[in-house]
Amino acid sequence: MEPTVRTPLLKKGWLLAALLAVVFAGLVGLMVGPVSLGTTAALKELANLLPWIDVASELSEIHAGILLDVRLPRLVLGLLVGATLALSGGSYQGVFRNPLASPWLLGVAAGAGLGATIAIVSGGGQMREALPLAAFVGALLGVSLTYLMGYSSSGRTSLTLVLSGIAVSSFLTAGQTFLQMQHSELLRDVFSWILGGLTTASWREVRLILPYVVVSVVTMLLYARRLDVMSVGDDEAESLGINVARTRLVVIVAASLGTAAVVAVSGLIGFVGIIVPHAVRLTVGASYRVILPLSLLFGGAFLVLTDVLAKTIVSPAELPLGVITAFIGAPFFGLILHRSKAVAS
Amino acid sequence: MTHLIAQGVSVSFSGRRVLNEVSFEVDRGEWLVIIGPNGAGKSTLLRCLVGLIPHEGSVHISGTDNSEKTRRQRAQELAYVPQTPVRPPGMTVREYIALGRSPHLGYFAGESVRDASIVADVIEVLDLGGLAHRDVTTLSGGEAQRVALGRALAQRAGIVVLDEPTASLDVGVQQDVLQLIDTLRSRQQLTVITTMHDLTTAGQYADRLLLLSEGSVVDKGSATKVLTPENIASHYEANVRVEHSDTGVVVIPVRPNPPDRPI
Repeated sequence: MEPTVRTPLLKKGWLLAALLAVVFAGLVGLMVGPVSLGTTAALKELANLLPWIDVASELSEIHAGILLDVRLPRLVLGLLVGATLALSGGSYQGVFRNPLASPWLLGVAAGAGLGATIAIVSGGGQMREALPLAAFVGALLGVSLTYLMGYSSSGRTSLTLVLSGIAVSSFLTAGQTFLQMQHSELLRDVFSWILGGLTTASWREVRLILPYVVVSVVTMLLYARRLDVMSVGDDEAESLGINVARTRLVVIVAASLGTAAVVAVSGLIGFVGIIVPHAVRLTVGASYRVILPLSLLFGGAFLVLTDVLAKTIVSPAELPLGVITAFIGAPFFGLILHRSKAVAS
Repeated sequence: MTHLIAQGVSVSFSGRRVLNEVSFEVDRGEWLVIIGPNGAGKSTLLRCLVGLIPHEGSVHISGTDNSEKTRRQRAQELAYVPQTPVRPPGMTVREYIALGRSPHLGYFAGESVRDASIVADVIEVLDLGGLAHRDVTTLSGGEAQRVALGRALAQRAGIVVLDEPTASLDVGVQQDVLQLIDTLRSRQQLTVITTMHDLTTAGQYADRLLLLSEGSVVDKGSATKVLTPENIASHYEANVRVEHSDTGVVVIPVRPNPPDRPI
């Protein structure tokens, strides 16, 4: 017999490709904008941020400010939002064994939408400060309600949770619509939030969501192997030593927490959570130990690049990011689906 | 040596008794086949042994109570293959078999070189080398059953529990799979517990039979003792002829009333 070598599921080449995608997206995100900054000067300025490097700045104070306080936080926020949405989508698909599961499945979006609407409606023009918190709380309440309701005599199964998610989402969306109708003058504000974007990105938003995103991302990545085992169904996974109910709860909590945090600062940017993990699944492999880390990296890169399009297509105005992700994502996804031999049944 | 003891195992679903005080023992290296008409509680009994459903009574494996063990400890002692194992799309045969190592891996650890070598060994023993990189959803019924068996073997558990391992396989593939189970059992000293619909197959391969009817054990013992026309008539309501061969018992269904037309 040949000596056994352990072949890692995640090939180095793909990991490298994903990292390069992040670096490329990062450079594009920093360089493209209404004000043109020299690439070398900008890179020197960035290198200066590292504690052991000290080079003379070649940017004016204003340009340095644009780079470090406008574009860099927007880039970091874009990476965090894209990575978290794609990773949460992949985790939801694993935990529900349903290729159509998106991070919105269990009421996160509807809850965040209602929370944001309440903030906008009750705060008048002063809603900016309270909106992320209201959306975050709304999202978590939406998921908690779904989890509490999703229980039948046969226990808490994927199906009862999905059905409960549909009921809770419909109820919360109805509440949101009702409020909007009562305050039709604020419809535009509500919709611009719902369609999502990174227009208001600053270091404050990054600091706000970073702890939640880190906890959520690390947890999901640690549970990737268990999601692989769960792909053979609840009974077989239990017989292989997995505590299915606990794994499902942990992954749902982690994915929902991360999603709620990013939704609070970016609005409802759709599609990333479905197309990125699927694109990885269809081109690289079906193991969650491959899907999750690659979705994290490609999701971040994808969102940063779509954000660049959102801010350049009709510059100086900006398109809602959710519109771009769907416009770019849907045909791209169609292409991958069409060319793939291994379509998930 | 006794490997598994079930004592007074009872299960009720919504007030209805599905299993009633089922008790039996299986020796190490023995093949126990559970038979009984549809709805007798065969699959439910297997699920109790695996620890998938709460039940009254106890199941002891190697002298210790199942209820005192964690899922992982149970999975290290007993491997289970349901009637129709789920085959996740996109998963390769090798990845699928490697899932069997799950109960042996640390909480957040990946596969070690030892795990990989066990998986490679299973692939070689089951002659699955040519299929190792195939998608599990593209396998034929017989191949899929061998691969499911592979996952169970990768668990390196002393007991293998198989629910209807030959259901929906043609007679040739059925024999291949059963011969394979029998060979592995003697080579690796495995204790095998299966349910079976086909009474002839049960009579050919079982060391001992357990006949369940309406949730209770109505007979147990050798094939010659259990597979009698009377037993089968009273519990399956079937008219059969029973013959004995060198390899075991053969049960032949016979039409209860003569046909109108001349034969």
